Amino acid sequence: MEEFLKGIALPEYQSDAHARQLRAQVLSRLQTSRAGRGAGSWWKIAALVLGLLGAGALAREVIIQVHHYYFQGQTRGGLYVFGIATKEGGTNHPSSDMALVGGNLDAAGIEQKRKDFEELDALKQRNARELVGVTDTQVKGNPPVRMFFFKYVLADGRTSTLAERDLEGDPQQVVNLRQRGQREILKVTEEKVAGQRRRMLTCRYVLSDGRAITIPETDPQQPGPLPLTTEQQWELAELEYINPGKGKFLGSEQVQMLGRSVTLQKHSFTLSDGTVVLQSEAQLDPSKRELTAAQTGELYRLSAANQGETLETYEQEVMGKPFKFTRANYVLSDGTEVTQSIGKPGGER
Amino acid sequence: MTLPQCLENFTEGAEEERALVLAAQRDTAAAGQLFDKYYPEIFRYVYHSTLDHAVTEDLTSNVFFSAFRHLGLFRWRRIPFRAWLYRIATNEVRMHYRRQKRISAANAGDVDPELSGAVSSADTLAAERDDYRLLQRALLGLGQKYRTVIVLRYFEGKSLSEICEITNKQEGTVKSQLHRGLAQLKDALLRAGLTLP
Repeated sequence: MEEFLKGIALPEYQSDAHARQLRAQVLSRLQTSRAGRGAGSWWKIAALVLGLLGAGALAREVIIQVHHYYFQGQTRGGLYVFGIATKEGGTNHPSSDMALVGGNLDAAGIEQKRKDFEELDALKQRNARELVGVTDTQVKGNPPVRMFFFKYVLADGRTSTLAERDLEGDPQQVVNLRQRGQREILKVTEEKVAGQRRRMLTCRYVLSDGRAITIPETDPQQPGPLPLTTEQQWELAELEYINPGKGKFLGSEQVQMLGRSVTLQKHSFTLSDGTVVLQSEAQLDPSKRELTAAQTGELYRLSAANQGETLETYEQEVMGKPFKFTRANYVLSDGTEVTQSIGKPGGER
Repeated sequence: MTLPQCLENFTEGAEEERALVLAAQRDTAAAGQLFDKYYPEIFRYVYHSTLDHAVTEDLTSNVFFSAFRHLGLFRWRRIPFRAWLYRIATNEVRMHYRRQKRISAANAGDVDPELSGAVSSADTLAAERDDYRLLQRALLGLGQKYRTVIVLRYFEGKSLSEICEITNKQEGTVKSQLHRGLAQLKDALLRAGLTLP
């Protein structure tokens, strides 16, 4: 048998064009990353998922980077995953970015959604969209976090409203704040798989207008990467952020971290292929936090049912457009106090 | 095809690789050299595992995007950079076949995508001989873990220690997987009518 295998003539394939294009793509991304964009791109998966949940039923899709979309499959929770590739020289180069969609789609629906994403991408690149909503969500004692809602009109007349954590006008602020060390570390999350570790810091930056942007960033002390494929990463992100109940609680431990005593919560997550990921997480200062995915969902339900205490209405300009905001207080089932301002264009209710 | 020396006996090469990775973390030109060094063998490995031109290009792209995404923060771990790249590539191939199975399940009645994707591609027909075609079909009938170690050992010329680093298994486990995989492969080829030397 060994003789047969050693003597077999293997077919070969080379593609100089692919090698050149991939090399250019990889080095371009490397240079962009080193130019100060900061956090690695894997966090976009987490931000994507959080953004999806934060939008509630207003919008079920979140787009980060757009070019060519292709259907990758369904998550264990039933979300449809579309991979995103950039087109260069007629060849698609898959990226680590993706879009998640809820609902119940058949094959035709999946293909229509794919086409819709590509069309929405083109509209976004041209800024052919209308800002139709803004929400500012503030956990008591913390700065507010803003979400933008954009309406897109497709060629066939259908409309789609997407929730986006748009950093328009903000990226350079975040870069500057990061370079000056002006950030708060809210949470430390460490993952371990196959003996390799990666530590993520949930960092909050407070912008000049008082609102905050929270970005997960790799800890230079334990940057990883983890030996996970793109598909494994989004399965892990889904388990951690959408179905955290699927994790197995392993216990908690008091440890010293970043100059203080914190409580480390330990969980394990098992992927569909049997890969086990151990997660340890510590909230550094319980008073400094944002809503979890579950809390965000609960807040949306309370808001939709008008179960908050209305505080005030006010007007504010957002991206050059006047908005009327209604601010209300909510108390979640776990006692968390949240203030949310929902803004509609002009005097619209 | 020649077998490379065992990594434990190739300390000069390991240091050279480490120096290149460290340089690539600081300098984009060095990162380009790192890419040039490993692209051909990763591409070849993925192709031997899938026998599909388009899939090979997509999966190879995934491997390098994944690896270089954190290159600037990469710290030397228990395994060399090359072995780590192969590990990512092995996972990409495995996930590819899992996705193919899911798509096949959603479109009931289609030909087994593993077989059709690997064998009937118009790009590969010109290069296939009957015995290799039978071999590939038989390989696809094995479990993923057996297929991986056989491809790494006999198509990519990896040593046992390299396979251990790539698959993150002990040497005894790899030997056992090779032994069982070859036995199953032999049975499959004999049932297919192939005469073995």
